[in-house]
Amino acid sequence: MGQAMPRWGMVIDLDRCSGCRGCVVACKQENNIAPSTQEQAQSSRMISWMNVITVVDGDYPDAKLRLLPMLCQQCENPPCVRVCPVGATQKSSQGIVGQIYPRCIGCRYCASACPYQVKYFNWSPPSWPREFEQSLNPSVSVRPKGVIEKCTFCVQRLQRARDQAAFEGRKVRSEGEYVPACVESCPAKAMYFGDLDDHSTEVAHLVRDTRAFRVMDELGTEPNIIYLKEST
Amino acid sequence: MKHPTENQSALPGRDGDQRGIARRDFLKLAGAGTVAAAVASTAVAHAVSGALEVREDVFPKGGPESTVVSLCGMCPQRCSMMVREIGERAVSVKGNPLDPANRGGLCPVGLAILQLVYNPDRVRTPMLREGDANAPRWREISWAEAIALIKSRLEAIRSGPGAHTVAAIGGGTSELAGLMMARFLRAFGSANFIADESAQPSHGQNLTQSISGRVAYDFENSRYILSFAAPLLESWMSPVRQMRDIADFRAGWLGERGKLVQIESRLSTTAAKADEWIRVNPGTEGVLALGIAGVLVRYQLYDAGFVKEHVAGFEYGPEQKSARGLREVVLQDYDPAKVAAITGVSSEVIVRLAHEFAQMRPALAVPPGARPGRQDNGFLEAAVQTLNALSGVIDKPGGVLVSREPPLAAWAPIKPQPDEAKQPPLRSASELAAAAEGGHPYLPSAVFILGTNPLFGSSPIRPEVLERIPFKVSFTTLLDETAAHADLVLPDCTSLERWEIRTAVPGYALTSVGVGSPAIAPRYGSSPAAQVILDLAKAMGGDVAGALAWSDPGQALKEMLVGLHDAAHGEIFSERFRREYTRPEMRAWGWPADTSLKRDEFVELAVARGGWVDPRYSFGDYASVLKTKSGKFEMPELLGSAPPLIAARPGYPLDLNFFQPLALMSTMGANLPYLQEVAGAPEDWPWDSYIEINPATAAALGIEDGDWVIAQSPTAQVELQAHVYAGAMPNVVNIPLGQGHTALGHWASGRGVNPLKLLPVGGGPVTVRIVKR
Repeated sequence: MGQAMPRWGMVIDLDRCSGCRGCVVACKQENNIAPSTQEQAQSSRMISWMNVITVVDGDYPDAKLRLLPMLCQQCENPPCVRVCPVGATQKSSQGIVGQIYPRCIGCRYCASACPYQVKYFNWSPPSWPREFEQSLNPSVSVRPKGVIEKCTFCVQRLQRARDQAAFEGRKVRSEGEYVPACVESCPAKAMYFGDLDDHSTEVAHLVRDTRAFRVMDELGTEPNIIYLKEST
Repeated sequence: MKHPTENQSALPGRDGDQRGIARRDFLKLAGAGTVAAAVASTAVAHAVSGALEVREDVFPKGGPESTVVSLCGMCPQRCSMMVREIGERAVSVKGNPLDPANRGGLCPVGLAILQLVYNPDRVRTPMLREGDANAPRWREISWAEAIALIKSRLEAIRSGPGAHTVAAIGGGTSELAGLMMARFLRAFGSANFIADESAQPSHGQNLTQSISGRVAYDFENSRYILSFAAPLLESWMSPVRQMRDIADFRAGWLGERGKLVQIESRLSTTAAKADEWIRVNPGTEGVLALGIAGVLVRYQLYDAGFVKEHVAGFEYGPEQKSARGLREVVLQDYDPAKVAAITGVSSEVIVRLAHEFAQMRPALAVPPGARPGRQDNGFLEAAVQTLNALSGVIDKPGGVLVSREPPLAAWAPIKPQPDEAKQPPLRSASELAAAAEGGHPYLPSAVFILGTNPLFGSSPIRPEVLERIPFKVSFTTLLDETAAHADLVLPDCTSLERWEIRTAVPGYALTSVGVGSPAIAPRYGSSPAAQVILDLAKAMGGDVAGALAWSDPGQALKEMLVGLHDAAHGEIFSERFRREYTRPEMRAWGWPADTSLKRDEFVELAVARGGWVDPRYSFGDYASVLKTKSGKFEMPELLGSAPPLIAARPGYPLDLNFFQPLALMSTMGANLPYLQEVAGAPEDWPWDSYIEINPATAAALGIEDGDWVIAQSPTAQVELQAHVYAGAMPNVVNIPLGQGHTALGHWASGRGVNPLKLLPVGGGPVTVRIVKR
């Protein structure tokens, strides 16, 4: 059965996606992302590991609108890792690009290097109304002011699945057992997640689809997020 | 408007639990100059460490982890959701994969529900209004005082104007409270329970089939969907169900790819995701529908067998010279060239759409439901259902269905009250408004408002209507506009804190029952409305107490579920259903029910899994779905008269269109910061209102993207930012609904504008002009 280590990846079927932004909210709730203010949103300082990018092409009546869920592309060859002077952003053995917050010095080189603009700097300390603290997820730490944060593929869920698997003396299953929050509740079932190197998984099957593409693949970043373009 | 500031401990904490020293307080103390250096150094150390260290002190106490199945209460679909808990707090929600309506999915509104549960602006205690509604002062009272007050008012009404003058409105998102309230009123002597009707665009079926409510569209088995400006992937009936089924439909899960055609003036999310977007002049969608019907008739592309057997009013014989059948109407008045001139859709496209509609079967036409500011609702819905009749998809797979009532056990019958028979009941919000304004047939003497906010929307219940009702009681989680006009406000729970039931999914034919159990205890001194009604009944005594003798709402709910066990068909939510429900034979025969479970075991399992489902549907049951006098689908006569078109007023050249972003479709959504962040659709426009203007129109007015503009109607004006959007039709401006609250909470209040105020009193169409601020 394939290689020793899984290569976790995601497939987003744009033909099914309805751009509802459920993934955006699910991510914020799971990962303790503090609510923004209007001022932060207007100065592009709102933190949103998952975003839906909108692109309007053409003029009325031929205008077209494309909606693209955009998160860390979990590159095989991540530019952000290369530029980090302190090794705070690293690629794990499981293929996940992570951020080690206590190590981060807030230089923001990685944010500049990332062609997908999915690394977020904490310009201010995270703040919640006291009541909202009740719903903080204890599996995810809260990031201080002055560090970069990013999508972790909900690595806390992987850790949990690995603990369970180790307890049962097996490996984490290639799909279904470990699923990031955005994928889990997608109402249109437009997102798939699993081990790209295990040919029995749905993601491995879907990446061979003729509709499959990767964003800015020409840069050589080799993303592990694969999109399926809309059919006609 | 206040926002959470940068310092954690400076935030308003109403729990009375002060932690640490706020920077602001520290500065004050330091200013006083008498503080020991130790305090200063502690505060400085705190501020410094807060900036450098990963903070773990914000996490409240832990505890064992568990999962409870509750129902979402944010919109009428009310998805079954699994609530993850740590100790006594809820930390995340996900869709229940076993619920056939949402199948594990949740929309952003449902996913943000914890921000309502833990909202700092929640009403925390019963409050009595003193002073008038424009400058209300609230006096906090105890629950016992509140119950005693309602009791004394109701007793005075019974001996004065009569029990029949009491009314209640709402229950759209809290069905159990609605059922309790209806029963309470019946036992008291009133039949005036008015269900929340916002989510049910069934006007067309009412006209043609005499069916109201429970109308369903079988998208998943359809091959062609002609949507007449229906926001199917946004805020239409049941958003999660539609997103999933339309994704399946388009992906061709039954073998062939389905085609979704969106007919709309604006490039909405649904239009962007549709296979084809047909740009139509706003307000002329009904004319286009009849134009397509005309082509179907002219080229005999309609289902002649269905029309002959089940349709009345299609054509009349020579003996009925005076009346025109639909055939004559569409052939005489709606030829493609004429329709093209009105709608802006070319006659070639009209003919092509008609041919596609006839060939890609089953083909379904879908209406948008009520649209504020448009007067063509009745005409449009009638025209759309006419297409469905011509397509022959009434009560057929992939067509227009009527969902069946689940076999829930009825509660014990209650003793009829003499008062109830005195006067005709008020059946709708407009009848209630008319009664309050005209005093006819009687002035409502008290009204209970359950989880609905008519004063914010386009409801006929306006502030001056409400003011005429002497006693208004609001059950609400946040102090919304309607509650601000109430005499007594009672803090209601969110759906995660109460027992809840869902007996129908709007727009979905599959018979199912959703059951939600309380995931966490009621917070901040709130109490579930259903429980308050039981407490009130107990205090009232007599027949009312007898009719509502349950100890808690869960007991009443479980009593209903017993009927599902006794029906001996259908099944508790299960993996098996999830795999197999799509098979057509499931719809024909269902499954043999598992009869091994005892009644109480069955009820407990249904509660644990979140509900029950029966896939059977008997298609072509025309006795049940055509309830008209003739027993046929009746072509509505109103189609014979001229279509209601809007003419621009001199000086106000721009057509005004409203749309409802999904994120703000919940009445509470605007006070949830995560939803404010994703408000706006299809493009994000966080935290504010905006007006979409076509680039050419904007250029002619000298307006650029982001400019502040004033939109003026003959009666009112609003100030908001311009969004120059290539998806807006020239000379048509679009404004999102959902912002512009004057109450609800500190995130919502005073933010953006409520564009409905541009409409003349009583609704009606309006055109506007835009000037730069």
